[in-house]
Amino acid sequence: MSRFTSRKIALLLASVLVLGFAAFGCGPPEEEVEEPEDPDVDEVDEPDEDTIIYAVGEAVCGWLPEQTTGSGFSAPARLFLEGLYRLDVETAEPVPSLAKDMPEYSDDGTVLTIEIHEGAKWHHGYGEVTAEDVAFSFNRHVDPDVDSVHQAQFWALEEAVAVDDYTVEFHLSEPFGGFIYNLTLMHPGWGGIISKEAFEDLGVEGLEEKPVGAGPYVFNTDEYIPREALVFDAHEDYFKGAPDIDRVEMPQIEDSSTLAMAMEAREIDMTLLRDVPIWEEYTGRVYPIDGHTYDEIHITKMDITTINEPWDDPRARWAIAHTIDREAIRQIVYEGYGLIPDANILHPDMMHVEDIGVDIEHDVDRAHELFAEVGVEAGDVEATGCTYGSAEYRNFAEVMNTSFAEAGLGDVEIEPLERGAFHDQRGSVENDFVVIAHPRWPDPDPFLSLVHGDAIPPDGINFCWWDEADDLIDKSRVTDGDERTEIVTEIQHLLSEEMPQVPLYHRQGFVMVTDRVGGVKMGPGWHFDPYQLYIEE
Amino acid sequence: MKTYAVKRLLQGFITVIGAMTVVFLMVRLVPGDPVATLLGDYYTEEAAQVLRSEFGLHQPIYVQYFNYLTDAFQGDFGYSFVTGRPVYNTLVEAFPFTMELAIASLVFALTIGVPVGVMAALNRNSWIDMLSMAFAIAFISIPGFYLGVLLLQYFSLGLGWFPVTGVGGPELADRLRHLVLPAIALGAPTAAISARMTRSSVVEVMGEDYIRTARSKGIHERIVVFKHALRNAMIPVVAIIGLSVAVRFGGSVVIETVFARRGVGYLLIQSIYDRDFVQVQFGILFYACVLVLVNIICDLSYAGLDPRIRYN
Repeated sequence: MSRFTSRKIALLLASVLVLGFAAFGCGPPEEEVEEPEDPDVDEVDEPDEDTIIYAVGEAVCGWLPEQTTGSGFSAPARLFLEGLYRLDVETAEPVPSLAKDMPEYSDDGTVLTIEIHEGAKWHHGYGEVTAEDVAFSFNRHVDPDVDSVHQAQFWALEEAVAVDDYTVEFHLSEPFGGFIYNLTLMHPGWGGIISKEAFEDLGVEGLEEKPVGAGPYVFNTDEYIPREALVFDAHEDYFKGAPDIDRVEMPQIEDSSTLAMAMEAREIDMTLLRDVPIWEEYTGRVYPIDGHTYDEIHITKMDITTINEPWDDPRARWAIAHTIDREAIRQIVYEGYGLIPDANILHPDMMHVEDIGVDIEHDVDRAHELFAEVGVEAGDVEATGCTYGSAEYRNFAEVMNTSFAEAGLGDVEIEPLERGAFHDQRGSVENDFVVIAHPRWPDPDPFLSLVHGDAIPPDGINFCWWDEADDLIDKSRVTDGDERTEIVTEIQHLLSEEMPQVPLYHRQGFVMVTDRVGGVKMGPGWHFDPYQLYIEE
Repeated sequence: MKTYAVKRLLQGFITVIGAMTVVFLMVRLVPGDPVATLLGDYYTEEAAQVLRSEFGLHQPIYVQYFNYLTDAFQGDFGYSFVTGRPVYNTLVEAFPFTMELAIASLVFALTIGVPVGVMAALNRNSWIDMLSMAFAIAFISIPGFYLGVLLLQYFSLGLGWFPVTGVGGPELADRLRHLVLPAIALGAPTAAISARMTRSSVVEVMGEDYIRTARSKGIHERIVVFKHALRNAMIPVVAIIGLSVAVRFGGSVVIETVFARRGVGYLLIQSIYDRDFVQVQFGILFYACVLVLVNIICDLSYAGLDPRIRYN
């Protein structure tokens, strides 16, 4: 056999091997859940009976609430920190936790009085949680010497005062119905209370090394590996009683495929997922993975630069809104999950939000008529926009650009940019459009703040450069619930008429769990609460 | 030799300084504000100013560079934007896991690659030769991350022999179980290259005069192969092994991500994702140092391996 021939045979064999590997690797997912015949296979590395392993995808940026940014903090924060209020898992409304009851408002609505539970204990032997600790924690957010990254969030707070050991008052500069959310332990943890004594004893650096909270779980400093693994042990002296689960481990795994395989191998019990194809491939199809979905309080919207022509005319804004096929976005990018918003950015599950019955239809003919009304031929429309560069938003932009092209618009394009470049460019008036997403919570104020004049760049992220709702938004901060609903409804109508932002998509969240975890409850904006979970027998 | 070693070390030092400068500039000149990334959807100008000031990003770039170099020469490589910990500590903690992975993958590569290469050479143009070279081409062609996923599918999920993620506990057996699949995924391309190198080298050596002489003296074929041929055939193989150690460190970035394994590569990927400039620049500096060091050691080791080689 010649050398040339043998090389050819070797190459042929290699090709067959490579193709063989590829074919095995690309096999279709299992269509039905099948329990394994040999139970021993799935007992490999099964976690301890009293431990839950909850994988998180994001790193935690520090442990002091005042310096903590990013969503990576939220899940561990709810384990080891305690808040006056926590979010109800099913309604996402604040419910008392360390506070005994909802706050009492003064007649003018500027003072909130809150009584806290007696007997709540700090971790690591720092004694009892007092009103002094509560006041100390919140005053740090407004202390100019502290430089809290959340100081803007606490714009209404003048001072927190401990009236006695178990009563604290919050003095506000003006009435603000949404202020209670600042006192609620949630993403990204600004409602967390820290121990004054521990702070004086350990200092900022000490508390970063050895976080001290009063929540249901104690931060295990011995087993903590930054960016790798968090471990929490049950707080035996927790004022509501020690949690049922002895230990929660939180490994950080970013790759969705690895996460899914680790769940299949029972190395992980649960995780939040953003990757819809992985969700589709595994959930309910691969034993023992099951899942739950929930409507996130979240909006993806297209901000229109209303100071640029022709976008200074609401008819042009409505015209561009009519060209976008939002159902195509939902089907193609999110495989049919999620909600298509009404004609305003407020999520239907938010408090004080009514269904005002105004929708945005995908109607190209109407778009052309409206462009003609403002003196622009649809074929001459030119606009540029930007969005995030992740795979999700690249797909998002592609569907939008296809919509614009199919609508016969001249040269309209949303360009996906690398995350840092997007952050740099999104505040420029050279953009006509900015496609951006915002997670928030059920109070409408944080969403409405996105269209407030105070948030126009460079001071904020109102990329529509629009301030016509400012008076109404300011008024909407009243504490009277009915009055708030009335004003918020008025704002919804105004947003629908003016269309400064085109609401595109309300995201759905996914929680993957194995059959080992029970008690997973879902609601608008799932908020991990260690108390709701148990280990199935 | 001594002069040459000093010269190579000096060149290495200049390379490292160059790498430090390039990395420093690159991470700052690419578009994107790390503070905006950190704050994400919760960005406010007030919060951003607080963080910029905290990280020293409000200073001109040449001031930042001067501070970076002076601090680095004093052993202070800065603090992570994300975790607030010294980046040196974080990397040093992750290093042993990458090192054990690199060594395990090298052991796998050599124990598979060299014998296969020898067998192929001794059975030149036979089915053994063709099959082993076919496997070699296949393992060079398959990307490490894909091989990793395949191994996980069959050995972890299918057979349940090995875990999917992590580095394992303190017990040796557990550590080894966590190490097997990543080591194979990382070492397979090196095994394939070693096999091909060994094969061609042994084929070449087996045609040399001294082999013919040894055979004519009636020495047993096994001794001819293992004592006379293999020893000489290994010189080019050993040379590439040194470099492949450095390459293994680079490859660990992907493999550690696929296996969610603690290590320098995984740390680097997470830092890039989090736009943690300080950790990224120290991670890349670390890789640059490893490459430079391994290169110097390889260059110097040639003389040790082959006495005919001398440095001027």
